[in-house]
Amino acid sequence: MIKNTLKTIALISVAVSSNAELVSMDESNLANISGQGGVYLSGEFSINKEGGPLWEDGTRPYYQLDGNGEPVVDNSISPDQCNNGVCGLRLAIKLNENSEGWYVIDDLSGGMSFEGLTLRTVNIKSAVDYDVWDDNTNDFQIVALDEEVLQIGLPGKVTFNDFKFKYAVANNGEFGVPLADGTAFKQTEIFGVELNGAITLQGNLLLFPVD
Amino acid sequence: MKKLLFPVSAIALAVHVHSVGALEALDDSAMSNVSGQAGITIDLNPGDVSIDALDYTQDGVTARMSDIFINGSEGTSSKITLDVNADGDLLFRDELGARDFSVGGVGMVGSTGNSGDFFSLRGATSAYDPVTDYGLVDLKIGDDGNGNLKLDGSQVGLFFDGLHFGDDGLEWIIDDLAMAAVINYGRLVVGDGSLDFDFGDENNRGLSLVYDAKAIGLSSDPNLAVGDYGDINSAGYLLGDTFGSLRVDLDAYGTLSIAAGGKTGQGITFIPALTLINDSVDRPAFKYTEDGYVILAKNFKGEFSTTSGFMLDFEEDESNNPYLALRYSDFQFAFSLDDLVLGEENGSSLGSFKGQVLFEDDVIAGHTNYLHFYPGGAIGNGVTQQGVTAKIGWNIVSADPLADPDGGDFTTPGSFAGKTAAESNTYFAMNDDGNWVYFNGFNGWGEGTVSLDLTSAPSSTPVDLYENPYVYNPLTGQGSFDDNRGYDRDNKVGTYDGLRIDFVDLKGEYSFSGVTVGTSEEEAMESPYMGGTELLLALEVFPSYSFTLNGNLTIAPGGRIDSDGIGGTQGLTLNGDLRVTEGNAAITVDEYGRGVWLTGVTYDLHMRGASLDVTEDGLTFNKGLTWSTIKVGNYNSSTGEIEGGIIFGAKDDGKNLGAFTLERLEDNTTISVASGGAGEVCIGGFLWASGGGCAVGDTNGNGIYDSGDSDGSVNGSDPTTRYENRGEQGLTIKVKAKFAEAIKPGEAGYATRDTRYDGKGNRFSWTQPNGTTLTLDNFSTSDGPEGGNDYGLNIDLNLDVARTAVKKDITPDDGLNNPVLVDSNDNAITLGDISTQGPLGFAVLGRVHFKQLNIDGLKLSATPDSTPQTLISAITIQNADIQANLTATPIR
Repeated sequence: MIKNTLKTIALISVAVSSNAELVSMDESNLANISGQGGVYLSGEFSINKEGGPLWEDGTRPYYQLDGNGEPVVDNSISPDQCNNGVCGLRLAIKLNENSEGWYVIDDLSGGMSFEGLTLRTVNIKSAVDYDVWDDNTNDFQIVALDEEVLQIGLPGKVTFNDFKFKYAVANNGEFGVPLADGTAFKQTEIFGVELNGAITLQGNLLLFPVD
Repeated sequence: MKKLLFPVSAIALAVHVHSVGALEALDDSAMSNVSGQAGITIDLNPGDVSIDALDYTQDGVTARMSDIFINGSEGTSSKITLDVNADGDLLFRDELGARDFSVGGVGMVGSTGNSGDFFSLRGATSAYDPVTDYGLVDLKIGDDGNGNLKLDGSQVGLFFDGLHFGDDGLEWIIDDLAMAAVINYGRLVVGDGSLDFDFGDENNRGLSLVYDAKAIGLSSDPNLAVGDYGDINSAGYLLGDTFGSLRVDLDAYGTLSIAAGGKTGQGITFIPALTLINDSVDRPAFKYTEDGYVILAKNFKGEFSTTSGFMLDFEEDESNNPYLALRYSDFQFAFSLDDLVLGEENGSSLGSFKGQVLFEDDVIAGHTNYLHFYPGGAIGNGVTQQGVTAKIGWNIVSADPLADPDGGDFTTPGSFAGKTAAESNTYFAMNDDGNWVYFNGFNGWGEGTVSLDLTSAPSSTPVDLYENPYVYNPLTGQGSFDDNRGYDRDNKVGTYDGLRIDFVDLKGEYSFSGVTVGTSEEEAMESPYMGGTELLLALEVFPSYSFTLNGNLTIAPGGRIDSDGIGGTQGLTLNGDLRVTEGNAAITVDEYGRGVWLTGVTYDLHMRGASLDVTEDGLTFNKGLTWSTIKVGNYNSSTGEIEGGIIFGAKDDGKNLGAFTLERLEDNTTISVASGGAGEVCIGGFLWASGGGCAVGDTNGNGIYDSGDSDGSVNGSDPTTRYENRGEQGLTIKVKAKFAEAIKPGEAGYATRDTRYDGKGNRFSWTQPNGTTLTLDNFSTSDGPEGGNDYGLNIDLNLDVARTAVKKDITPDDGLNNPVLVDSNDNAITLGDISTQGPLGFAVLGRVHFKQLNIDGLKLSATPDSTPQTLISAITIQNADIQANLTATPIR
């Protein structure tokens, strides 16, 4: 997981390059973001676009426990067939140690492509404090700052390609594995999401530490 | 001819001849062989030669070779011919006889070490071989017509059946070592206080040099007979596992001056301005072979130059310990090579590379370039203490980045006065499908003590071999270092088999300014600095780092991987216990030092059975069983303050994000470097199944994406998809991390656990500046519900340089937001122009994939000292294959 995190940092940080003085930006010059120093990114992120390494053949087996309590594939049950033969990522979280339930994001897959994401480190002189409302200006308070921030210039249009996942609950984190007492694996799918097409993202995202 | 005023009096050669074997009298018949030919021919077999000591003294400090013995009685005679030809050239030819020899010690007189020796030496040379011309000293010395000595046609060739360097009874052995130097063109000019060699130019290359070692290994048997170790491919080979073989084949040209006088007083100064070159398509310049795989470099060129020269002095330190000092206040080394092959000899090339390192003293900052060699290493055997201890310092420079003269917020590589940017920067560059990417603007300095020893491991496995000095407290989820635990630490030395490198307070610092790209060196040197050095993190190299290193690394022959993928007999095996303290490491940083920093870093690392091998996947580093702790910053319980930590902004005054600790336990994690580019990418759609294009989807419903599907990039001004092919050349870095799980008491499988894992784990904890601590406990990889841990967590990176599309509103004053495709000079271009005129970018195909990752829990506590509460009890992630396919282009 940590390697995963470091990797993400490494990829994101490809872009951090030079410093620019940024004053407040209005809508019209947001479009000019790519005309300044920094890095312009185009490409795509994808998750299990062509399947994953655990269920490469597009099926997910069910297991039974052997004499030592170790899971072995139960060939008497037909394996779960993934959509289009492509099995997505499965993320299972158990919140309470004493609970038997797992929250599951299952069969997560798809791609997200974009063109024109910009990244740079800039110094900002002011920021909006969303904790304080200013009655005089009838807006959130603007506070003075003098800080380095990671500025992510959003790409305008992001295209989702067959991006989908299912939200489910299950009695085990590992798919298809019975509990130690032999209770069969159960999973209930609550809803599914499928996303195709483009969404518009405009503006900047500023990342910086706060106390 | 000028007179050479060499202070010979300063160089006292004291030869104490103990006994000389009787010269064999030539009988009458042999005499006839002498007088019957032109010149003089002598068959010489001097018998045994024994010399007590051979001394060389500078400024009252003496280097000594002691107990020299040449065994001539078992060898063959040398045949020496001396003649003067019609041109007046002196011809000296010695066809050497076979000899065994030994030197009891090579060291310095007056050392406080047990022996005062760097090493001992044993060897055996072969007799002259007329086919290879090894075993030959052939000198042709004449006048070039300008009053200089002409050396054209001279050559020296030696073949050692075995050469043993000894250290306290252990030996570093080279089997079948051939060395040859041929002077095709050579002039010796006697200058004013110097000897100046001229070895021609690129079109008239003066020297041909060959170094060829069949095998390099180690032995703990000081009585091992020199020279005949058996068949290297048989199990009975006396050297056992080896490092592999190495051949270097280069021509050289340029000049070399040797001047009298060192940095201070007597000494010698070498001033090389030499180019090493091999542009042959048939002969590799370098070829390292192990277990059938190679590291091979073709079309190599390396240029060395220095203005001040390398100064060799003998000196004594404040404790009157003598040492050999080598200093250079400036030194430039530049190299280029067109084909680097890792893996199979006829495999694909990684592409072309070039690099340059500029050493230059910074006297004001106190960072100078020097090597002080003391006889005697860190480890002795109780009787002798041979080895080498070196106090070293270096300073590598690059010019400061150059700000955009038009006031833009970017910088380009800078230059020193009177030099171009290409001449003023330390860099490493690779060519990819005609485009160059430069890891540019490297600066770094360091100083400290490094010692070399041959050591052996204890005969039985020490009980503390796998001890972890970082002791984890499960009650708080935190840990601390216990300096009395561990195999090799301050107050205990634990040794392994091999060549041990000890680091003592080795302090250093380095940084890169960034990455630049271009279709030529000139373009790359004018291009804006951008990020990209962060990709080196995959190789566990930080873009910027300051550190103090202590500990040891022991290198032994024999890797872990051969052609079958396991258990090779050649390669390098690594064991070590290293600790970095006072570390400041950048995760990402710009040329002004702003970014994300890890400060106050302690990095404690232990490796057992790691290896470096050449495999079919390229160069592979297997971490063996490795456990480590990275502690970034520290929460001070008494003050409630974070000391050091994750700093956002400038290293010294940025904003603190808190401290973190990362513990890792890895078993057979591998990192490999191979060829391969970022390939094809489809932005906004899917690649065709056969490649070569992409489509928005399976529009014709035949189940595959192919040319029958509508591709928005072919027509239309606002394409739905865009296809880019970044080529197949490039660099591939693959990390296969296998996080192991230490089974705790009470857990299933505890009785049959791998006890080497005890006391270690994979954990991450983050303490925010207010003390709140988040702990990710016990993460590990597995191959799925049925167990196993072969697949690991994989990170694949393909690096490439490619042209891409950049959109920009080039008429911002018209009040309209109308970005159009532009080239690097902001001129509008069309979609079809991208492949030829689009701005050059740095392409990265990154992929993270694993079968299963288990995390035992996420815990939260008010401070690192308080009892944590469980936030998430367990996390399981299965079947992950996450890809990021990006092209990063610098923008102005």
